[in-house]
Amino acid sequence: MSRFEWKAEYSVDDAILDDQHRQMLAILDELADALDGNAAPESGGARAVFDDLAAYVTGHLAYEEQRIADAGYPEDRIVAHRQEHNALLRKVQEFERVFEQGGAEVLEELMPFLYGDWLIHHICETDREYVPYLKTAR
Amino acid sequence: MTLDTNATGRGSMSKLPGRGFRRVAPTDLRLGEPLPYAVYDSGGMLLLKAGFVINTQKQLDVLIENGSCRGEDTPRPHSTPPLPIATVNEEHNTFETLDLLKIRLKRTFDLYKAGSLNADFVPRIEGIALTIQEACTHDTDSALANLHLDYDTSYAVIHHLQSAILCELIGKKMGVREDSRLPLVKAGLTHDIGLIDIQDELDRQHTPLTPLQRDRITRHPADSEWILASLGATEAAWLDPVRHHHERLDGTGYPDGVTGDAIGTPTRVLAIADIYSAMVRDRPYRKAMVSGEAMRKLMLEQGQKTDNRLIHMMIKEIGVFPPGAIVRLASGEVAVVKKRTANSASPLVCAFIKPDGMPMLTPLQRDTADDKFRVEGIVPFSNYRGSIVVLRSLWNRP
Repeated sequence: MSRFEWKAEYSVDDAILDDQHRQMLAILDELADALDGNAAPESGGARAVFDDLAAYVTGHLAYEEQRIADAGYPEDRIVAHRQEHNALLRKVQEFERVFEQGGAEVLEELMPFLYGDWLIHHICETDREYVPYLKTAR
Repeated sequence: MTLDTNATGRGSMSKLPGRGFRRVAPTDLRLGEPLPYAVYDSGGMLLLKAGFVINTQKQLDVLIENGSCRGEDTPRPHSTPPLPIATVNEEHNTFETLDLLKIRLKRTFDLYKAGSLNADFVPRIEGIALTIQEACTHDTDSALANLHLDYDTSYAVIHHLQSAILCELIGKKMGVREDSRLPLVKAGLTHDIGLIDIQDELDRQHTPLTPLQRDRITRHPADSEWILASLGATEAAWLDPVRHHHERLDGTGYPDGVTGDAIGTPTRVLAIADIYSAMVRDRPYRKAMVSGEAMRKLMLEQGQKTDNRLIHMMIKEIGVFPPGAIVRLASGEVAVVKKRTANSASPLVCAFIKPDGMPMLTPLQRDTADDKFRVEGIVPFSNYRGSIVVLRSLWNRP
């Protein structure tokens, strides 16, 4: 059973963006399994978490930036949103760097970052600010 | 505020992970204030560190559902040292400056189209031109990369900015003094202003041009000159290249059909900058060419019509693999050109796609002078647009 399940609070009222955001929950589950030592041998364990983060970043962030620009989200807020994406990415890159250098214990810090900063602060708060624009643009 | 410990999601919510954990009390949590303790899920996994700030009720609801257990009031010491904070690298500023220039030029064009810019127009363009010169002096690689990697700015804005930057770089390569280069940078920024009111329409149109549109296109160099003069531009070194940027050495150009020596060097520079920067963008009638293809085409097809010496100068300046170009490496990886080097065949690159086609989270620098990572060719950026956030991280400040 998934440890992190989808909640209405995560939704930005857009089917595609919500589907993409669901992948973050799958990554949290994957990381939790790796931390618990429950990861299936074929899953690639913690390394797979970073590969899936790379897929999430490339599959979602640029799409979202384009989607909100097309919806008429104001330029200054798009710039700020991009900066937040950049800051989140920088941080996971730093986690990956430390992990690759043998610091597997850094994964314990990765969970509160992905859960707190990315899911709770970014998806549940920053992303929600563009919701009214998506609705108007429909 | 209620604390629903039997909330959906986890059947084991009512269970505490063990000694040293207590249920979060709703009264413990205040919106906008740092958490006084770390929060764990019922399996004892750290979800939020002490000090995390809950800003909205929705976040609080999620937290209460997901992680209803708190550790002891004293936060557990972390076994890992805090992550080092990346240092601010000055060179990254130029990439961001270009992002701001796009917004400034767009705003200037929007105000012009709305008829609400008169005396302000020339100073605004001058300000943008001076910032371009500064950006190119500070970090040409980042300025070029920003524009080659752009995929969402309107053609009118990106085309004028790129033309202006190329005018500045070719002028500098020719040894023209900075203040003497400025009027041509302004010409680069404004040369198609006569089309700006119909540019968006032209960008969307897939049908042949109407006679009226064709007439507007033929007239646009002269229209642009007239509009700029009416907005207060007076310098001949700005207005002449604008009027003549579609003249060709063999006399086949417009609006005046002048030939050879009658076409001044600054005008020839603007013509090349204009053609190249149009070629590397998507147009309704064709896809964007990769930079190498555009350079080849420029030399082969425009050889008789434009100044070959200046084309070579431009290629020498921006490189066969210019910054921001996406290249395939002998290793099978896909990389972005980060900087030019003394050897134009071996630029400094960062790989961001693995040989199996999967994206990397952190791009890796590769030495293209090493045969293993030799540059095999340029590929279209449009195939890798999803990676733009990862690519930007190579230039943006943390």
